[in-house]
Order: sequence, then structure tokens, then C-alpha cells
Amino acid sequence: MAAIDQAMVSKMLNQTTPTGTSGAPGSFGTALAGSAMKVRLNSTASSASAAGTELTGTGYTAGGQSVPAASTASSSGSSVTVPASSALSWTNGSGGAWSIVSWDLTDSAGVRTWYANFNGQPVSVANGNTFQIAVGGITISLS
Amino acid sequence: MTSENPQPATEPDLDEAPGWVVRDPDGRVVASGPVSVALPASGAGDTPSEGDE
Repeated sequence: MAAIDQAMVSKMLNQTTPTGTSGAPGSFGTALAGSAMKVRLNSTASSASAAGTELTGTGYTAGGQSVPAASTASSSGSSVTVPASSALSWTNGSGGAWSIVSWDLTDSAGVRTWYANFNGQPVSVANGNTFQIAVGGITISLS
Repeated sequence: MTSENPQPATEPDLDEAPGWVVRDPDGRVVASGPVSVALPASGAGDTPSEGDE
């Protein structure tokens, strides 16, 4: 299952292949924003071409939740886990149940990088209940 | 000789819990599961092996 936004795939490929002038490495294009990245939750599946439909209602802020701290950087091809240091947590105060299907990792401006559907989705979160992504709950790998 | 009684385990520590957890207002885990591991796009990085052609 593809798990990298297709526009991000092109950025990665262009930056690391001879697609630039005279065969130099190409351009990544607009750099990702420099502030903390965000995890957004969706009520429908995300795909390579588009994020799912974002949750709404009290307890969920549009755009998602900023990660609490820097993840340990990849080394020798190792994976990166998210979130670091503390869980991401959303308490449903919308008045109805949330049905959570997928997540997207974005920069602070909403540019999507990675995505996946939750195993066991849809995850039903009754009004008043809390949905959490544990420390290191998301593993991102290229190998 | 006495020894301290360990607290009964009522629920897994979040650090040891699956990737996602749903808790009720009292903090009890009502559902949990793993998060999908992100993988590269299908076929990305594949290179033909000898004899593939």
C-alpha cells in the first residue's frame, strides 16, 4: 500500500535523481514549513492523491494536532516513529460518535507527506471518549 | 518480613499499548489496535534481478 503522498513522491524523486539542469539533482520544490508537523485524522480513507475527509466537531481542531517533540532521526535506513515523548490525544465532544479511518502526516501548513489507514478501521469513538495515538505508535519506513 | 504489594495491572501502559487507543471518560481502554506501518509505494525501488528478462 502506498503511504507517501504522490506529490511528495515526486519531490523526493526529483531531488535525488538527475532531473535538474545538465543532469544535476533536481529541485525539491517548495520546502516543508519549519514548524512542528501535524497529524490529522479522517473519517474516510486517505490515498496517494488525497487526504481523507477530516474529522470535525468539538475536540478536534481542523488541520490536526502538532507533534509534541522531535522524533529520533533515521540512521542507516532505520524507521522513524511518531509521536515522540507523549501521546497525541483527542477527546470527542462533538455530541456524536467519531468514525476514524485514516491519518495524514503534514507540515504545519498542511502539506501532506505520509498517510495510512488505521488497522481495525473504522475506529468508533463515542462522544466523551478519547482517541489516542501512543508514543511511537506510527512507524514510518522506506525499507 | 513484608514486601510492597505491586499495584494490580488494570490496563497497559500507553507506551506499551498498541498504536491507537480509545479510552472512556474514566480512562479505561475500550478499544485499541495497531497503526498501519507506512510502506513505500508498491514497486518503488524494485530492480530487476538477473533472469527476470
